[in-house]
Amino acid sequence: MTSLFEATELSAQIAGAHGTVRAVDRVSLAIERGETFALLGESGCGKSMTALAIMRLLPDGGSLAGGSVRLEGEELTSMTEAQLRDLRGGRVAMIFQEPATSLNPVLTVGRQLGESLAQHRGLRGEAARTTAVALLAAVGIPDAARRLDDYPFQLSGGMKQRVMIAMALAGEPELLIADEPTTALDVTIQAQVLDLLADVQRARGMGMLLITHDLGVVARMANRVGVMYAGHIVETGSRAAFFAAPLHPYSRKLFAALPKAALRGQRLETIPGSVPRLDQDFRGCRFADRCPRAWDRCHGEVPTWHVPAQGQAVRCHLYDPAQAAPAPAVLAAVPEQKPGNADAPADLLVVDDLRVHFPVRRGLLQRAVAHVRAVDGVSLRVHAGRTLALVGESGCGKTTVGKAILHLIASTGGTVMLAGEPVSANEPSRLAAMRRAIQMVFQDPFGSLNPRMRIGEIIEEGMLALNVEADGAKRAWIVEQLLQRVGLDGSMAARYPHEFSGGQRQRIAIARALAVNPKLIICDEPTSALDVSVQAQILNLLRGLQHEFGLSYLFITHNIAVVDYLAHDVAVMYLGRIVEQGPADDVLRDPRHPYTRTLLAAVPGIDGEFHGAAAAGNEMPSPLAPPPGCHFHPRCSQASDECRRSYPEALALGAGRVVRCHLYR
Amino acid sequence: MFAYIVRRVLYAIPILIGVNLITFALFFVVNTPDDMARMQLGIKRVTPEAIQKWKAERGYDKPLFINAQASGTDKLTQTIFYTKSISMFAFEFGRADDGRDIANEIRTRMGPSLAIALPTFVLSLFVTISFALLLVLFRATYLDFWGVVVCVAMMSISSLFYIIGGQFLVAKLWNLVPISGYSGGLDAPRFLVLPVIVGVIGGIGAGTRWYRTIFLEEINRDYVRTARAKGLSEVRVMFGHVLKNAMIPILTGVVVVIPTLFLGSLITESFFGIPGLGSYTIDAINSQDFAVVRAMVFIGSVLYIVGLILTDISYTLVDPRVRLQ
Repeated sequence: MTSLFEATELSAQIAGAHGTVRAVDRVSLAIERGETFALLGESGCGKSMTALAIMRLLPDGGSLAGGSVRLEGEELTSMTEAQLRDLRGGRVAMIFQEPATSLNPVLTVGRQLGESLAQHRGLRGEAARTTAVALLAAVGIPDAARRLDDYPFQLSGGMKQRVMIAMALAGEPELLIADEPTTALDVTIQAQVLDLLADVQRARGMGMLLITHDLGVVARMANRVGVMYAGHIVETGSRAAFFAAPLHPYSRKLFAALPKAALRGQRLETIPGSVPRLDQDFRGCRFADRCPRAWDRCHGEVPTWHVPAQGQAVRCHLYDPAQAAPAPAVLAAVPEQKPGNADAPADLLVVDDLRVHFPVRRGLLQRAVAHVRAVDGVSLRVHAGRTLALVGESGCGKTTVGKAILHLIASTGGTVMLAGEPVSANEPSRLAAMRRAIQMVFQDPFGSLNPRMRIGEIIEEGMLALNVEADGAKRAWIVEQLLQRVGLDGSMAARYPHEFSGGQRQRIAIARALAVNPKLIICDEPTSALDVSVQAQILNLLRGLQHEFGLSYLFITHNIAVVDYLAHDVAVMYLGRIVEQGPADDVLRDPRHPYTRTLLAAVPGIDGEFHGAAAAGNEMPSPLAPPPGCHFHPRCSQASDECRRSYPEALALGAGRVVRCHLYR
Repeated sequence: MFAYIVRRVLYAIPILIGVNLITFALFFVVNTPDDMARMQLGIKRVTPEAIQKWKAERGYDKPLFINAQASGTDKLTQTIFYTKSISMFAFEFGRADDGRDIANEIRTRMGPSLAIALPTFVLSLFVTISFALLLVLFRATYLDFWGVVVCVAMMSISSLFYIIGGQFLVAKLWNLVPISGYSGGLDAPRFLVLPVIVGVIGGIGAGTRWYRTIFLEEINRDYVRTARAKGLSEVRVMFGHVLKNAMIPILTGVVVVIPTLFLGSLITESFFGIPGLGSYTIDAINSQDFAVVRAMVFIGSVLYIVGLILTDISYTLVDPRVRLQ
């Protein structure tokens, strides 16, 4: 019997300014009915291009360059555009990464759903409307009939992705291609959307091609896995086999680069070098230049597929039964001592009852009619030489806390003490001293560096502004030292940001922060825009700097694995307030607040075992109108009447732990 | 929305006072009331008495901004600026310095101005957007490449060239329409057809390029990929999805112009001898007729502000995310 879907030696190329790039190079994969095939890889490896090549939706300048694609034995590559249009959104549907931009902002949900229904099922008018309501209800959208007339901006991110899924289901597809369907979503929402995808797949017996960079998502969803690197698949296998023993050195590196608690205090493995350009003819293995186990043969001969175990195939010379590879170099991680644990930690930064309220202005005179309590009474302590992680989902106010500490936005109330000195925006000298002591590294390294400035100037600017070093030659020397310290070349100071990759830019941002010798760096999601292997480099760098200079970090993130690896203390934030805080080990191993538990349970682990669906069925309410009582009670399975009435007081549980929940009174 | 409009109208008042002040100051930097009188009376029979009489009749015998001889509030009110400005805000423009009623002139000259400006505007919009859509549908082909080259060439040529070239070719060589002039009624189209066509052609280069950029920006958005992945045809993607989103930036440039169409075009009207408001303004500038210049600048500002408010309102029609508050 033929597979539901089969791609054989599929290649696609894109004509660019610097020659033709072979973005997809002889990719072969097969998907059975009811099966999920996960295509795993880092950004730029060609996994999205593979999906677009299958749909024949390559961007301008892109074209197929060979191979065949068959759906139930029917060849797709020779189809006319008209036949393809029947196929797209019909038998093969697709959902995309960014639900916020993937829906047309000026058309209603009903209209966009209706288009698919009209195109593929000939439904119009009342029949289309009824079907659309049924579809929305099927993807878990409450009050579906009313939502039909909503515009995308009126829906939350998770709801938008549900609408995308409903649209994909409208044509009753046999194959669903999901391109990073949950990457833009918070983890609790991600868990819900993954559940939904698994449910609809089971109910309809669809095949699914799941494209992702997240090993956790693969572990949760996939039946089979293909690892993609530099335009082709280097390893395939069943989920169980792959997670039990990844074969290709690249796959192994991906696992080793994942931060986790067990690796605390050790360097994460990184992959040296960068992905090779795809506009060349490869004479050897594409990974050879970065591979710790490469030898002569890897550079001179393209590896073929080997099947070392049942159900697992790998494109690597190591598994060639005809030739024994040289013994691997020992790569055991060298444990380093945990930084900052020796002394009793002193408080470097004490934030007490910090409040940031944004007025909501309405009416003719623009009077403030209400306040968004973005930060509502947050108290934090960052110890010298240690890392405090501030964890929460998007919109909880964690970034606002960071900015308010630095007085980048005005706080409404509360105090910030730095090394025992109060910091106030009213005293310019104190503020400058504070900015010298606290620096910030931002999330998006592409947006946070001025594209018109040389990186030397970017790093130097802080020193000039805060009068750290008056001598120009001395400054140039410092810039060079800093660049070397963050792993770049000192001679790069004259270059512009666009000449660097995302990971390199984040190093530049860190060098910029270091330039004024800060005691504390506020890191706002510094790795969330980066690939896993690059993230490992940045985390190593941050950890090394902490060790070397005794830096403290306030690490703002939603990534629990990073917290587990890096942080000494954790504060969990929900709707403007800290709901639980304490030492990282205690909070993450033994969470007390129901929200912390939900958050931790929603993270898909790579052990392949899923800790049960997130109990929180809803999404985070608007901070403009937080629920009365405990803000979390509408999503909490253990909520009592008391929770609906009053916000719980902070309760000390000993050993530095504090929780705000009525359960522990 | 009502509160928003009220607020915007209130904002307009200081803007209009400022515009009026600047017009007034600029005009009297290069002119004095005596110059104006000499200009109006003619150079030959000018006596100091005649100038004084002319100034007194028209209220130009007072100081410009501050009347040092008067007392109290009269210091400010017994001035040319105050007396000439205050009636303006009641839309009473009074008489031109040559004695004719300005409001009456505006009413009669509005017709010819609109008769040219409105068809030019509508046709231009239609032609440039069609061309832009065509180039975008054939993007990354030779048609697109040469289309852009032609656009750049066309926008590099002065509009005067199109006017004079059109008059020479169509009117003089081929004798199809009169070179210039205007008459009302059924005879009007004969005079209008050339200026309208010239106006449309003159705007093709810049307009097409501008709309092409907008469409290209939209066509690379994620939602367009989603629409294609649904199996919609390229034409439906274009008209059902891209056009509606592209309307948002297009409206910014377009709606604001609509009210100012009443003012006509300075250059086109004077070259084609159309007795509209554009040529009225040019004539007034040439004859240093302050009353007319000031009235036209004032009306222009009012119409522009109206255009801006209309733009904001039109956003709410095409973009559901915009709510005026």
